[in-house]
Amino acid sequence: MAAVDIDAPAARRVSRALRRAGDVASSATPTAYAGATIGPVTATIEALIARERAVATDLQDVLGTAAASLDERVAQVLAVDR
Amino acid sequence: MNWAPRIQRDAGALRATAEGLDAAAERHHQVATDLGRASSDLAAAWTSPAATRMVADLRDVRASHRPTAPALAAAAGQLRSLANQADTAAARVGVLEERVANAERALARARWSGSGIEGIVDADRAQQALWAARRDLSRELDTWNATVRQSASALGANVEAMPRLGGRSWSALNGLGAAGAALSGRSMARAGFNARGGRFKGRGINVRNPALWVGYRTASRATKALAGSAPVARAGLTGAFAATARTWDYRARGHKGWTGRRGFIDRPVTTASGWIGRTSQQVRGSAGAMASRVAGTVPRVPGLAGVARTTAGQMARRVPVVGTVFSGAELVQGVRSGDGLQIASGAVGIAAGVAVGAALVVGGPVIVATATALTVGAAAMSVGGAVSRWWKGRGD
Repeated sequence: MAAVDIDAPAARRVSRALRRAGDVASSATPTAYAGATIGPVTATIEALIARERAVATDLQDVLGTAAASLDERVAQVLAVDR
Repeated sequence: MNWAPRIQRDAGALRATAEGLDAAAERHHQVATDLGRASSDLAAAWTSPAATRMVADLRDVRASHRPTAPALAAAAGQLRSLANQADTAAARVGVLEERVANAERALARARWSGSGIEGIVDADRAQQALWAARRDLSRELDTWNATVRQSASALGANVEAMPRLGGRSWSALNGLGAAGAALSGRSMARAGFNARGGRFKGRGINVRNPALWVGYRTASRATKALAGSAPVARAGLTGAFAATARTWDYRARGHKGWTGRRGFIDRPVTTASGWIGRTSQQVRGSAGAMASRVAGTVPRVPGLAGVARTTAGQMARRVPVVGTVFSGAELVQGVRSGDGLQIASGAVGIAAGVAVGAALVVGGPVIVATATALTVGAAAMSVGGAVSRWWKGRGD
């Protein structure tokens, strides 16, 4: 049996936590209400929201990738131990 | 047009947006907390070099993400402050609009009911009052517009404070890719593969297909190449994905040793590929926006800047050539007339032309100084020679 350097249940919990964090980041979009007298502010808020969306999407991608790598490692360990 | 109700509605819109931004800030704060806990849990659950790398990557991502929640919360606070100012502005504008309406009614009454000199004076007073009320209203609206512009500018600082995770997440992705490659390399070794993936033994090892290994390595290299060229990286990832697809095909054709799971490669690769595509789009968008900004600063005369640059360049290139030709002519003339000064002037002028040419091509302070000295010397000798010839020929 190969040396096991990972606690599979704990790693799975971490993987789920990473995915959940990505989902939380991208869950809801704030809305900029276009006002009749606040055009410049509306434009800036839209830029802010667009940046927030980009951050959330990037986070979800990166954390999803990390979770997938971790899941794969756990699957490898379980396969080797079996 | 009544502006007061509009400004009042905008105050409500600003408060609603502030609430949305607050919720987003809270969400990102929660994510930052969860990420910190997850990286600590991961460090406790998994001990290997790959795990260390992944933990470091996650902490990097968290550090990059950290300014998000404060920036959103600060923006929400600014919007609330602007909403309060909008309340005040709406009240003031409402009073002034009422004053304008009253002044308009007073003017109408004065025009209809007044008579004689006294009526004319009353109408004139009413007209003056109306103009003053309109002027005050206009000033109040200008003040509100200036407040809005100032707020937009202050909010812009929050936009700038928001992290651009693109670069950081790229770093994390690269690290995670390296961690994954280390994992699969070790699995390969355990499975008995050599470097070319030529053989395997044992069973139950997940990553043991040569095509999959090559695909993963290609993906890892492609993500590293991203810093230099997103399209190249995207092409590389596409190639890696194609290699992975070949693996599925290999499996479909009944290869008995394959026990891999589909999610290992295709999910990260498609994720990375999509991310690179979006980043590439963003880069192109930013380049376009920058080009527009630059274009906005250039005088709006079609091609003027280009023509000026071209002309300057052509002149700079031709100066040494023209100077050398003239100096050559002077040298020939000096030889014919036996004028030593003119010969020397021509020779130094030719040297100056060559030196200026060298200065334009090679550059460097010594060459430029030499070229300048020779040019000045040639010019002085040429002028001196001309004066000398004129003096000598004066008596002829």
